[in-house]
Amino acid sequence: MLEYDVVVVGAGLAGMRAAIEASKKTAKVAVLTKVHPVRSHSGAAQGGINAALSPADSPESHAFDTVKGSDYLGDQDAIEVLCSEAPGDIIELEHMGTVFSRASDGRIAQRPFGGAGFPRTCYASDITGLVILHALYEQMLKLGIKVYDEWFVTSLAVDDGVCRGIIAIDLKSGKLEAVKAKAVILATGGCAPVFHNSSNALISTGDGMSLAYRAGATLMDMEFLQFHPTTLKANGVLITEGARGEGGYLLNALGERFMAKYAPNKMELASRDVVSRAEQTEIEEGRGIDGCVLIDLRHLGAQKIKERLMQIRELAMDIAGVDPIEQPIPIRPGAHYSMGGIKTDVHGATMLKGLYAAGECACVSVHGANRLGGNSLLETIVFGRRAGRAASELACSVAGASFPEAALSDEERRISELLKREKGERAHVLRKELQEAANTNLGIFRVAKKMQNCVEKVRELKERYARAIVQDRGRIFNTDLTNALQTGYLIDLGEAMALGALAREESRGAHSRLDFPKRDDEKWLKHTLAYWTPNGPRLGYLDVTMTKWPPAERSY
Amino acid sequence: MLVSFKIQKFNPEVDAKPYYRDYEIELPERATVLESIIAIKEEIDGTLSFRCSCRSAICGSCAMRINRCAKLACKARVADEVNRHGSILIEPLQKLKVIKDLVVDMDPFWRMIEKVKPYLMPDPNEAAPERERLVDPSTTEDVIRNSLCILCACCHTDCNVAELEPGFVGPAALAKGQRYVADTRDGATDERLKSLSEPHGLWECARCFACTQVCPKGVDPRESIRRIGHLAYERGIRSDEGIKHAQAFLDSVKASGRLNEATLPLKTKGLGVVGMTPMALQMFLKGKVPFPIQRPVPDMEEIRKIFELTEKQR
Repeated sequence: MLEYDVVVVGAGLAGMRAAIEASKKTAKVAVLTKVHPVRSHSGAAQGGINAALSPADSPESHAFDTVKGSDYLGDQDAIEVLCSEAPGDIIELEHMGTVFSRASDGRIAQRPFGGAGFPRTCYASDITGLVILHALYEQMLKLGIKVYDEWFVTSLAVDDGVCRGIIAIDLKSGKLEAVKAKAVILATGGCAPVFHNSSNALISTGDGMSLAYRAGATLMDMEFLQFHPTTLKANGVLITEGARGEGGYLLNALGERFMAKYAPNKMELASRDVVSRAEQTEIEEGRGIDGCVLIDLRHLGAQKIKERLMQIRELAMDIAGVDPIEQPIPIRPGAHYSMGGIKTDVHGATMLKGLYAAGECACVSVHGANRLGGNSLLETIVFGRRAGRAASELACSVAGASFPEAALSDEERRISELLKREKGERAHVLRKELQEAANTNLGIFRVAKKMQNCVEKVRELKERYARAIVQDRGRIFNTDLTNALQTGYLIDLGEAMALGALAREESRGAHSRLDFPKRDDEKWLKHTLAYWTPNGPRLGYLDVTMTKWPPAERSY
Repeated sequence: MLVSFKIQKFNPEVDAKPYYRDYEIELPERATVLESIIAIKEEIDGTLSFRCSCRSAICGSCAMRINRCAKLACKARVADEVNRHGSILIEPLQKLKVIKDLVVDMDPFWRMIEKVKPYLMPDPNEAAPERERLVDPSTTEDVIRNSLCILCACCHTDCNVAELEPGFVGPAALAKGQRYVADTRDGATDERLKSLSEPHGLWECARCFACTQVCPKGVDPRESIRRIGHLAYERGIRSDEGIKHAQAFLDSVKASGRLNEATLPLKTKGLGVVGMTPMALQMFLKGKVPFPIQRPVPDMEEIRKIFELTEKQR
């Protein structure tokens, strides 16, 4: 059996940052990823990463913007950590070799982003995620950190209330393997593909969230799912917030900059929940164009678009057939980011001993009810580093414990049964029904009746999933099997989202209810917890940590 | 629209060798090849195996041969392929071992990328500053262009040289190499140039531009290779046969306006030319060896002007 001190699952920004940090304390670190590291979805992040680098800005101001953006649901102690450690982490990334666009004085350039009181988003054109992903991967090569690429984790091995390692399929050989570890860090990204045509990659199926949840760790704030204001109609692919940061206008069918009605001060650069609701309202009230509104970049000029927004120009041309230099791009709000996730403390520790989480799969919580653009990449770096450190410290302090013997054989039995099952529906049918139900009932504007429908639908899908089949019965590189397992993860998370949303009788951040249109700090200034039970999630609640900023009315 | 696909299949657990299977499927007008093969997997053949992830040409997973050209399936439009070729043929990337269907073993490609030491090597004598290293924005063009590379391996697997010479480090690795050569924060430029100029390095490029043509991201690896070659030459790193060959070309044309093919091997290979004697003899017998002494072209003044102009434009 393979044996490590620290095993990191996922090799996006959070996972690789965690592995690099963990390797400083202990040599026995391995990264497992179901794809190759450079294929990770962090690479699709476009706009940038926030840090108060300028003497005219301050971490405190960054923290306030984040607290306000979170609609006061973010834990303020964690937000202070995020914002005060941001500048150091950005400098460290720069020293590692990350490419940043530069200002004329040679310093890292920064652009304005939504909900931010200062232009503090560092960027590399509109490929910021890609350049950081490559920089971290290259550091891993330099440090010689072992990577098991194309290993698909099917379960966590838990014994005596402690996480002891993982069980995974080595896709290339098709063999199921056990990996023993003193500490496991999950960094597997988000689960927006619970919705149809989300902005996420096909691989973002909430694996880590679901694995942790099933293993006894707690999920938090799953009902808070961010809809990004600018995604392409055809397939939900992202148009960066940087497009508005650089000065892009949002227009309705009448050619009006409609944000004037919704956020007269910040206009297009209000926070994402506000802008998405505004767009959806315009569309529903008949001022949209074919289910979309427009983002107009023409006045920025060809040079700026080619230099700072090169990727989204390519995407708009390829996917929508529109060159933003010549024409506005039709866009709509789309499922984008999970504010919720595996509950952790500021060191990445989950409620299950030996298990850590960082990045989008975790909920520290720094984003609360709505994340600010540019804070997700930052979270991966700050809390990836912290989780890597804490996990390696734990690994150094505990003796190697026993790996639960039956874990591998139990899992082998479960996978074999699924592969042999003869009659039933294929999993993608269920995934599509889940996504359809989420889009219809759990979208930008929510009401009890629809959410109830969604809960019932997910429960029905859970039942049908227990009888689902795969058509590919082979072992080597069986993506029909992994697709089926991923659908199982998404169904789990869809249930926690729908139930959490139905229970929360208020509107806060991305969770916006027509039947409870006001924020209700009296009753709901608290996190939703979801614990796995055989009959579906059991909900609990937890107070929000406040330090300096009492809840106030939020307008942009 | 109803579209026909021919897709190469191979499952090592069952098949002795790869074969082609035909599929026919109804698709929307603007469907991509990736959307099509996902539909085929879901509706017709659950065993069809391929890698995919982002759907937006940024992760590099879905590189495959589409109508005999390496492309990202998520960027290739079905209608374009059908208009050009009548039908759609999909095969795995060339040169790499097939694991299953369209999934190839990428390890040899990753090893080539690793060869160019793709990480910043700051000058060890300079302490890292407290803040970021300052970078003149006018120097970042090459770095950003090469940073657009998503390591999809389209250029590497369609490279004509790599086909004949599997040891060739390849266009993707060389573009990555140039990304660090051009980075003003790096302190190992000469070491990099030397290593990139070694055998199987940049001088093995045949300048056919296939890499630049197939690159789905506009990285232009051939231009990156030209720029490292140029810089190596400027800095006097000229020991490889490839650069001697280029130098011999230049000298010959400068001297006579003609390419002296008889002296070219000697100037390129030096004493190593002895090894070529048998081939030279055979060529001689078939009348293929040109006379080593050549008359210059009639209008040498024109040649001189061309060189002058080129010098000026550099």
